[in-house]
Amino acid sequence: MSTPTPDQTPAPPPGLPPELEALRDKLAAVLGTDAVWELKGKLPAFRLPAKAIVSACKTLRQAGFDYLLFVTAVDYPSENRFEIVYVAGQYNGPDQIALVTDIPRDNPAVESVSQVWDTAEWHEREIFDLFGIRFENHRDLRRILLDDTWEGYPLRKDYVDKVHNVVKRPY
Amino acid sequence: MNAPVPVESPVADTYQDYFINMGPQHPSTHGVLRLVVKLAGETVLGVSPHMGYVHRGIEKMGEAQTAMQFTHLTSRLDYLSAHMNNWAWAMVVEQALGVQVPERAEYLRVIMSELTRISSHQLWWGVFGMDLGAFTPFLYAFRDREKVNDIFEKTCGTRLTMNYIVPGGVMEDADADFEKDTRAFLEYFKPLIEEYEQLLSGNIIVQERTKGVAVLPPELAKSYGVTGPTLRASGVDYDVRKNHPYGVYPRLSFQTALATEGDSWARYKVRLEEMRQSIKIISQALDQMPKSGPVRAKLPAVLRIPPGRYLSRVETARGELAIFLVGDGKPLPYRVKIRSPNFSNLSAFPAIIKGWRVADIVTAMSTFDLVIPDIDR
Repeated sequence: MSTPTPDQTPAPPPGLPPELEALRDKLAAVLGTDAVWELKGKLPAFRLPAKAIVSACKTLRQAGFDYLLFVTAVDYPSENRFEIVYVAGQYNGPDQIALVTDIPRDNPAVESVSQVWDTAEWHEREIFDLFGIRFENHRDLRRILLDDTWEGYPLRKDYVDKVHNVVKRPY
Repeated sequence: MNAPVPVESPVADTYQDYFINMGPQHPSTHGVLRLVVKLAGETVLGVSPHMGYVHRGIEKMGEAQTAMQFTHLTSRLDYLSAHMNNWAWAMVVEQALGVQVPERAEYLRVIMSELTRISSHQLWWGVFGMDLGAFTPFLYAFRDREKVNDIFEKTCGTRLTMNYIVPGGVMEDADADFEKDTRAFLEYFKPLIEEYEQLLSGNIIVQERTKGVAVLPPELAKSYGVTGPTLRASGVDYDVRKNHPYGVYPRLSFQTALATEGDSWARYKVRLEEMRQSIKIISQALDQMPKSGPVRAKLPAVLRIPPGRYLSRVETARGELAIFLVGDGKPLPYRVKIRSPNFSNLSAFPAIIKGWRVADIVTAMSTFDLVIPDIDR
């Protein structure tokens, strides 16, 4: 496999634990040059373009990550993007890794990974329900938590609850 | 012999399909969960769960509350594992802020969590009996669960929504009688698991209704992200306490309860064994716990979550609870995602119940031990 070019993987900050370094090297080798290592906070992640996400998930599953903890989204309205986060773990090992991808906020859609892990089906339905993000090739894309008549997507940052009139606290 | 009817079989086609609603107020769903069941006679052709009846938007509320305030909402996720939920939140905040928790607090956390596991499984055992039509186990379970609740009440002041484990440690030191009370409970409860076995496990009706019923194959369970006793009953040796050790669990010796059959009976046996293991853990933790010392680390007055992603993973009584936190350096969290064990466990349910009878839905769902507010959040 090709190794990432130096400009894509910046030198790790001093003190990166050896097990994270090993994880990064192992996964960078299988995920290819599309994937860029990213360690913000404590959860190690790889950033990928949206169109590469399904094949990356398949590769990840073959590499022993047979456990998808969850899929979720984070809204960044000021940067006009949603970040989709896939967190995968192992049923017989200690490793955990997140795959993140950006999709545009004005036409949010991404390929479903429910063909890779069955559990993604419901997690993607939840994102569809609460963020209004469409998942292509999803088996059963319906609302899951909210009522069918609900308007708006509550977990978006610009959502205003007109009915319950929730006032944002000043702190 | 228990066996599912193949749903493609002529038997299924003989009858006209019809749908019934199980729930949202059906007693066997233990909360407000609606199962739309497609039937041919009494044979289940498919189940479609509908949830959201107790959706409170806890993740959204997390974006409007400080880290300390949000602790109190986590108790309301899986209300039978309140201590563990608090711990998961405390752990993710401590991870973000780089806080070291005092040793005594770590032991108190383990003891409280394992007591919670026992009390949760006691409740499950009683309700399982009731789902099968036996009322007596319910009374036995609540008799014993009361003893655990008394310990909680004496220490935390509450019996259900504890709010005891907070970022930095625990809210208050345990009361002076805590160790004595807990040891007395362990002595009291140890022989009673055998009583539970005699009362329910040996019952031929219970065995007939659970053995071989609703088998969850390990590969299917893994693909659906199933965790907890439900997964371990399918022979997958996965326990967050072992695979991703947190707190002082690495210092305590215990075994993960395992079974290989994957049927309702296996899930039943695994939970009973977990209660025995929890007793072992608690008595070791009581022996090792420092007799005095600080129980709460000093935290800044305003908890600013540094920019980045954080993840904590905890084994609750039902499976793996993971809390994903995104910070942006402001006092309020930018995003809180709660990965609830029941959500993923329930998603595997429709796949395994096809071909079984209506009555098997009740027993199988009871052994999944769902708590609905945790699914809906």
